[in-house]
Amino acid sequence: MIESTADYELAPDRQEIRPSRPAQSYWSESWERLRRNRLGVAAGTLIALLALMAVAAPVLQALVTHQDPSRQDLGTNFDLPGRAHWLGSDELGRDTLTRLIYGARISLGVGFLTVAIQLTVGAATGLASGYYGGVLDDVLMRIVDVVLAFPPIFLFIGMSILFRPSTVTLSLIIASVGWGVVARLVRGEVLSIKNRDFMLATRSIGARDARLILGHLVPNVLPVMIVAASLALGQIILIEAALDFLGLGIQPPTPSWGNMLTNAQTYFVHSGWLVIFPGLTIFVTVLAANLFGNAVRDAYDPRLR
Amino acid sequence: MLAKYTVRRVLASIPVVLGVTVLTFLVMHATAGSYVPGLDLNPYLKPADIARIRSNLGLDRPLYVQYGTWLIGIAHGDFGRSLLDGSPVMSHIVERLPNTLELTVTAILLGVALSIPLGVTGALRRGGKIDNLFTLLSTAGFAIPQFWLGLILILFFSVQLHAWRLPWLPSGGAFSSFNGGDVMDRLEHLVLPATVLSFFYLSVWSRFVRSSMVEVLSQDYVRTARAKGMPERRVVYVHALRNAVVPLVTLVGLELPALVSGGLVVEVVFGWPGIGRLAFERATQYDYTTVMGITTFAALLVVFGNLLADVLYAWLDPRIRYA
Repeated sequence: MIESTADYELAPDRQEIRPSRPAQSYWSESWERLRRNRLGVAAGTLIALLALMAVAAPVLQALVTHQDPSRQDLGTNFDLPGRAHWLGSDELGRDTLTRLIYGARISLGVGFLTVAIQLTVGAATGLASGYYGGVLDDVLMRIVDVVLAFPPIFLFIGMSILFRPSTVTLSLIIASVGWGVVARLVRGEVLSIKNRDFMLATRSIGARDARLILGHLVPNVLPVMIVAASLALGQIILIEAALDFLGLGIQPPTPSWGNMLTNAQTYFVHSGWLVIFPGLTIFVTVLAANLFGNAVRDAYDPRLR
Repeated sequence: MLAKYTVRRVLASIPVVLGVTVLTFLVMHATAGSYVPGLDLNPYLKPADIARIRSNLGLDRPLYVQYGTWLIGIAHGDFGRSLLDGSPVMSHIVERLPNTLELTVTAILLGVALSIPLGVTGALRRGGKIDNLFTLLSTAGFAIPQFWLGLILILFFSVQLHAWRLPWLPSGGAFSSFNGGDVMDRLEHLVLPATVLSFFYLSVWSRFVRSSMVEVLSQDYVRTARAKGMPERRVVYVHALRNAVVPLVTLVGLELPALVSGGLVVEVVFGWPGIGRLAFERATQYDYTTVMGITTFAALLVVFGNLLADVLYAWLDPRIRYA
C-alpha cells in the first residue's frame, strides 16, 4: 500500500520531466538573452563609448588631442592625417578629430532626446486613446493621421525655417513625426491588453484609472516601446545628419557630423578625405545603433517568443 | 459592399484633408502676411495704398474666409504663389514632378529587380558565404547616409575616373544641354542618383525576399512538388518564387508616398531638378508659401494614394470590406 510519495519512485523514463531551472521574470530573462548576444553587446558597448566620448569632449580635447575645434589655422589647412592633425584638417585648418568628437554631442544628443520625446508623447497619447476610447480615441487618432500624412522630410524642412535650429528644437522637430508611430503602436497594445482577465479583476476590486494605467498597462506596454525606441535611434541619427548636411540643422561653426560634410562638398574634388571621416563616423554609429536595436528586439520583443 | 466601404474610407479621409490644409494655412498665415514681395518695405507706398492692395487681395478678411479661399483654390489646383517672385506654385510642381518621378520610379524598379535575385540566392544558399555577405551588405546599406554615399560615388565615378582618363559618369543634373539631352545622355545622368536612392530599398527588400522565400520553401506544397519528382529549378523559380514575391508588393506599396518626397537629399547632392530640390532651394530663401504649397500637395497625394490603395485592397480581397 502506498503511504506517501516517498514510497514509490518515478520510472526511469519519466524522471526527466521535472523542471531543470527555476522560473524567471520576463525582465531578467530578456536581459540574459541580450547579454548572451555578443554582437548586440559589442554594438551597445560602442554606443555607450561614443556617448561617453561625447560627454567627455572637453576633457579629451584638453588632454588627448590638444586642439580646439574652432581654432582656425590657415597655414595647415587641407592637411592629410599626420602628426599635427591625427585625422587631417579641414579647409580652415580646424582639426577633424576634435570636431568629430564634439560632433558626437550633437548627433547622440539629438538622437537620445528625440527618442525620449517620441516615447513620452507617443505613449501618453496611445495610453489615453486606447484606455478611454470613444471620442477621445477618434480625435487623437485623426490627429495622428494628419501628422503621418505629411512626407516627413518636407515637414522637417518647413519647420527648420520656422524655428531657429538648436539641439532642442531639432529634437522637437524630428520627434513631431515619430510620436505618431509610437502612439499607434502603444494604442494597439493597450487595446489587446485592456480586456484581459487580470485587468478586469484589478478593476473589479476597485482600482482607479490612474492605478490601472500606470501600474498595469505601462509595464506591459514597455517592451514594445523599448523595441521601437532602439530601432528608431539609428534612423533619427541619419535624419539629423541629413538636416545638418542640407544646412537646415545645426549651423557652422558648431561642428556636427552632417555640416562637416557640407563644407567638405565644396572642396572634395581635391581633398577627398574630408568627405570620408565624418561620413564614416555617421555610418559606424548608425550601424552600431541598428545592430544594438536588433539585439534588443530579439531579446525583449514579446511577440517573438 | 465595396461601394459602402469606399464611401466609409472617403468619409474617414475628409478630416485628414481638412487637418492638413488647416495646418499649412495657419503656418502660411503666420509667416507671410501678404505674398506680395516687399510690400511693406517700399518707401513710396502710402499706408492707404498698402491697405487698398491688401483688401484687393483679400488679406483683410476674417481668418476663416481666407482659409475657405485657400481650400477652394486647392480644389482648383492653385497652391499659392511664391513669396520671391509671385509665380504660381503649381507651375513649379508641374515642371519638376516628372523629373522626380523619373528618379524615384527608376530607383524602386531597380530595388525590386535587384532584391529578388539577391534574396532568392540568399535563401537557396542559406548560411553559406554568399548569404552571409549579402546579409552583411544589407545591414550596412541600412546604416549608410544617402548623402555620403552619393558624395563617395561622385568622388569615384566622376572625379577619379576622369583623373585616370577612363570613361566617367556625370556628377549632376538630369541631362546635359551640350550633349543633346537624348535618351543615352539622360540614362548616364540617371545611373548614380538612382543607385544611391535604391540602395536603401535594396537592403530592406532583399532581406525580406530572403525570409519570405525561406518560409515558402518549407511549405507543404513545395514538398509535394519535390516528392512528385519536379525538377528543382521549376520548383524554385516557377512555384516558390511566385508566392514569395507577393508580400513584397505590399512593401513596395508602402513606399509609394515616398515617390514624391523620398528623393530630396539625393536630388540636392546630384543637382537633380526635381520637386525635392525645389522645396530645399526655396526653403533656404525663406519662401514659406512655396514650401508650404509643395508640402500640402505632397500630403494630399499621400492621403489620396492611401485611399486608393485601401480601395484596391478591398477590391482584391473581399474579406477587408467587412472590417
